[in-house]
Amino acid sequence: MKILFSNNIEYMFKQYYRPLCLYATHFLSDIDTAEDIVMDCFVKYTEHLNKGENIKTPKSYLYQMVRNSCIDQLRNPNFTENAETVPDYPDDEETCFDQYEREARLWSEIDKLPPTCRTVFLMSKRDGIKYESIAESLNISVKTVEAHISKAYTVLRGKVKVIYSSILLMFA
Amino acid sequence: MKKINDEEFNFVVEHYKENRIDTDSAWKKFKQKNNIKSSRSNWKSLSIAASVLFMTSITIACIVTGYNPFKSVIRQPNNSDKPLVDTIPDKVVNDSVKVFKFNDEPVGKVLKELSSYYGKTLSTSDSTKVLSGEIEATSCEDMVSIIETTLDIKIKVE
Repeated sequence: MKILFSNNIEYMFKQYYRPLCLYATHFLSDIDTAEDIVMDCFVKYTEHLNKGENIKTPKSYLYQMVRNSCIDQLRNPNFTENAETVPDYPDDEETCFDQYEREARLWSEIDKLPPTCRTVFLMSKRDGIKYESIAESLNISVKTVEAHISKAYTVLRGKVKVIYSSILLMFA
Repeated sequence: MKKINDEEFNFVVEHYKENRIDTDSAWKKFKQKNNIKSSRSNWKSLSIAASVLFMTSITIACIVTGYNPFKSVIRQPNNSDKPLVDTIPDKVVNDSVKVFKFNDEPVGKVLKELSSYYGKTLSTSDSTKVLSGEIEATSCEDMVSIIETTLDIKIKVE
């Protein structure tokens, strides 16, 4: 019985940890706080299960827990992050959850990119650094930077199966 | 899989940090915090498997060498063993001579003790008399006759 239970929590954790973190990040704009909150929620969730509480929809339950914790966090005056307002809990849960699962998958695809490729991609897209500056700081040619970025897009596009024509056009 | 839109893509890229939201390391941390039993029960089953294997190998070794490990554990009937209950002689002079000590004990009780020691049923009509002292005897009959003469009673042996 115990084994079944812990397998269940392991499954839940591995399945939903990342989407939940991204969900919290939408509210808090801070990855570290989001991770702490999701971890705390899982700890509480386990306690509830240990008490013998019957949770019929664990996924929604976890999302709700994370959402409530985020609201608490935003009310905390010590929390100074540039936070966005928390939207109402969605009526159509599944569509909403799908979004965070897609984002989680994209996150792990970025994780899997080759290190240099990822660095160049993030410098350009996330930090908004120009190709020339990236080439200079990494001591590579602008052509190489372009190659890395197009490779990153190809990989990510291939994995998430979507055409980022508009984004690619921005770099063209 | 449903398509990811530009908004979602941009959101992830903007917030992406290396080595964050790592499910595996987070799970390890979570397990430590919660003492999740899965690993422990694995250890348990592992140790059970190990002990079963250990016992099996010992059994096989015993069969092969013809050694019985329980031989030494099972107590051989030995008269020099320390008395477990009062029904065992207090002193053994040699194999046949045993000494029973009694201290103000009613005959009924004495006979009960001797009965269970010799495996016979000893009974008497007058069990009110009290016996004190050491009785040295070689056999049940010897013991019975000593008590009979000392206390002047009749003892029936069955």
